[in-house]
Amino acid sequence: MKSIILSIIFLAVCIPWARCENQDGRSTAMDYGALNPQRDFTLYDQDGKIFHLKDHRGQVILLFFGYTSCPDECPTTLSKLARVYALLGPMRQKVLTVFITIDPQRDTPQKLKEYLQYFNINAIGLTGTKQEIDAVVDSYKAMYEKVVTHSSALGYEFDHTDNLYLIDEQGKTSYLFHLEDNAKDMAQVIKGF
Amino acid sequence: MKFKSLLCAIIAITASFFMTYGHADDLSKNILISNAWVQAMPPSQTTTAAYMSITNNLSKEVVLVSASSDIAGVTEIHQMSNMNGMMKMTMIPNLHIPAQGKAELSPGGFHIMLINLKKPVNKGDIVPITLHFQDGSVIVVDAQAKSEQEEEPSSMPGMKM
Repeated sequence: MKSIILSIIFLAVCIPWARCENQDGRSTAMDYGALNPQRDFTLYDQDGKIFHLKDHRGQVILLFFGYTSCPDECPTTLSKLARVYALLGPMRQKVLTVFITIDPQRDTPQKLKEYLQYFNINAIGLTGTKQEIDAVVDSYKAMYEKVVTHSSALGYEFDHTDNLYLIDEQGKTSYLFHLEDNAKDMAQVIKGF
Repeated sequence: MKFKSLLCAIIAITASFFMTYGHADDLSKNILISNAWVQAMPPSQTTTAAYMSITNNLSKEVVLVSASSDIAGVTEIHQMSNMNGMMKMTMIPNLHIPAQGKAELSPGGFHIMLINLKKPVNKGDIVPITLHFQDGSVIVVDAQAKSEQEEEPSSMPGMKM
């Protein structure tokens, strides 16, 4: 009897942990509480206005780091988010996508605005100095690296983490999406917040 | 003598033309390009990516060595890879399509980068892309510019009017 109880406890603990490992072995078991524990940051939006995360309590935020000249994963993510918004129904009113540029040198507020408008979702583009942006990147334990491409005509591009953070109405990071997640599953998760 | 060398040159040029033509014909019959599309971009963007499936029905490997397009100043073959959550993009010199096999160019994987765009790539535009293979043959493909979001039907209530 004792061993049965122990087995049940073992399974109850282990099964959720096992689920945290994706097919590609990428661990999604992350202590979300360690991500931006202050639940705030300050940057500037696409209209040059100051943006405080704490002013957006009551909204569900989908936050990611990118750059407008990113040809592949950024437009892929934004196009996917357009599908996610369509699937959210009335809830989409309170879901705000926050795109933080890691390329403030090339991404002017005007460029961010035009870029995000194109994807036709409720999105805001944020920028700041490199130091200000890096502080936010660090607080979310994201990473990026500027790569000078000598052989390619691109000049430079960025390697960067593909995390898309779901920040709940209280400003707490509560879920992490990745590039391979599909729109339907993402909408399902977002609806739970 | 002069006439003889001229004749030789004409024969050589004509022969090489037919040889090249023959190759291209051989390749275009056996290399199938499907689902070619280009990511439509806001007008201020100077780069975009093209995607497609390349099916090789030949019993030998074919190698895509470059691509070109009238709308781009520079065209390169790139590969995205995910290294423990870090997306890395690298330019690759060529793309091998195995015998009786397939190469998928899709978001998050291989793509053809169109750099220094000469004009905006709007939704619905047809972008001709020329694929250059190692044996010298070429295939021209018409890629349609679209946004990935168009692939799934919209469930926006506003669309039901």
